[in-house]
Amino acid sequence: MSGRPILVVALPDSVHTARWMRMVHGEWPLVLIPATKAELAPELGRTWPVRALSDLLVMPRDAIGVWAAQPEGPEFAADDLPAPIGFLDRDAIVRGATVARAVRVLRPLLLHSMEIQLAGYACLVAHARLDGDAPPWLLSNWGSDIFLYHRLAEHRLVLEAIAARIDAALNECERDVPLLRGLGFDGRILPAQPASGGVDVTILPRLEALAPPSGRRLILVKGYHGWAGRALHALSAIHLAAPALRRHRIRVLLASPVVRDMAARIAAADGLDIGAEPWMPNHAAALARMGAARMMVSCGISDGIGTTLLEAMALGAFPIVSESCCALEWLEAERDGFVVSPHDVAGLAKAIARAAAEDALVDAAAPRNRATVEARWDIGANGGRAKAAYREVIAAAPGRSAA
Amino acid sequence: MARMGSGAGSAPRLVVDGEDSDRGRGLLLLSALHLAAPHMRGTCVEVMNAEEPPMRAAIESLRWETGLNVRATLRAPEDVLPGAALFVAIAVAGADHLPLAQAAAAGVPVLVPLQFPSDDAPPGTLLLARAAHDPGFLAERMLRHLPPRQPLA
Repeated sequence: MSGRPILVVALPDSVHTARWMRMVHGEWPLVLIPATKAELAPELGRTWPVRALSDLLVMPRDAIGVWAAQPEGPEFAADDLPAPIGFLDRDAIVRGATVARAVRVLRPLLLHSMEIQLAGYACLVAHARLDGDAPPWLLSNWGSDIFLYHRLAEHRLVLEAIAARIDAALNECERDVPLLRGLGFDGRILPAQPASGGVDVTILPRLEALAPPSGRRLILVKGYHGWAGRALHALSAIHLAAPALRRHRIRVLLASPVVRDMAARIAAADGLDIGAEPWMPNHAAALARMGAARMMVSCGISDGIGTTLLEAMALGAFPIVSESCCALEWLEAERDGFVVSPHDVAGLAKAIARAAAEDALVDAAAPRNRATVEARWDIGANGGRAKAAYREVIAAAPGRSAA
Repeated sequence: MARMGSGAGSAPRLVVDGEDSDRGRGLLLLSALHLAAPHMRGTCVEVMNAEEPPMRAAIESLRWETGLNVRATLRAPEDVLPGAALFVAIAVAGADHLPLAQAAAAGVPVLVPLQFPSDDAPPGTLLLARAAHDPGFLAERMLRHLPPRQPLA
């Protein structure tokens, strides 16, 4: 594919990265600069190693380029920036010098960082190194990148530095717009859309092919517990709501050992059918599981618009989530789902008990939530918007070219 | 920043256990502080066992959101407990890992709800059963031990 590329700095193993890049693929050569040393997500499809401009000229049309040049000189030293909460392997984080080098070699039309604390921070360092030769920079803000991190003093300083340099921003949530303005950004903020971009809604199981939510007895609980997730809070809510859940199967997704331990204690103490659910590498099987769930419960202190929530909405699982995500931009609380403070475990327990008992509630929400997802998470429509966003940011900076 | 009190006439000081693991629920306790914060103006909170990054981030987020005077402390129990108005921890099954002896020696009242208490749990454990899982209930219990304060503006 000819023409100047778009460089995307992003987590290589993230399905969001893969879906987004495949969604916008076709109009420009795309080159991924991995933000960590993790393996490439298989959903990226065909990839092509890129070390020089000449590699782009022979890259097959269906391939996504992946920056593969061996590090040189300043690329060996880690950037002097705070790492994400709990991220221990600083050596695995891409250097700003690497991004700057790729920019100089490939002269991209646009630099797009997806996720901030790894990709965005590296682009900040690159931008400073490139000085006046930096291409337009589009920042994608995933989930907690600003909502949580802007409260942390050490990270806030970095976010303010980024806000001073980016040309445009793309959020998952409209709630992050004032936060970005508060960090000092006064440029173009594009309409919000999920980090993953979109999915082919036609391949999602139809609601008519699934059991009605009122006939389902499975409860899925997101099992993340740590810097953002509060799965142990969710399990305390399950414990408090136990009398209402005796006819249900409760399965905890992606549970760490401490979460598994608590699930086992609840099973013993409350006599509930509760246990950890293995990770399903087969996405179709994971969707089938969601399509068998009456409700999906997620508790955390920070999130954007999660894929698990969108899949729950698409497949009739009544969403019960924390107000720290932007679910209220997608559904009406008390009608299409419950949105509870992550600190209000008693409130979460009441919500779970209600969803377990109120058949009419969960049945009525399902088609509305499905319609919302079809309208706002469709890969075709969102892909068009994403490409329009790219064109807009590129056009807004005419003559800005890399060295 | 308000001074961390340590004696008579100082702002009341709460010491809490921040361990979040298979034997402690520090993050759940922080949620109780989120809920109690509007009624804790002038109270200082010191969080022990708060070295893990998620707990550090949660403390900073709590301070940002509520204005509560809360900090992680590296001080040993025998140094941080004397003069405290209350020691709070949410423990799992048992409380042997907690500095209850030091609290007793310092004359500090303790509030230690247990999740899934073992059969030989101390008397009164069942009375706090709800507080071990419900941060709102725990917040009310904590506030009973603190002098009445004006809520935060």
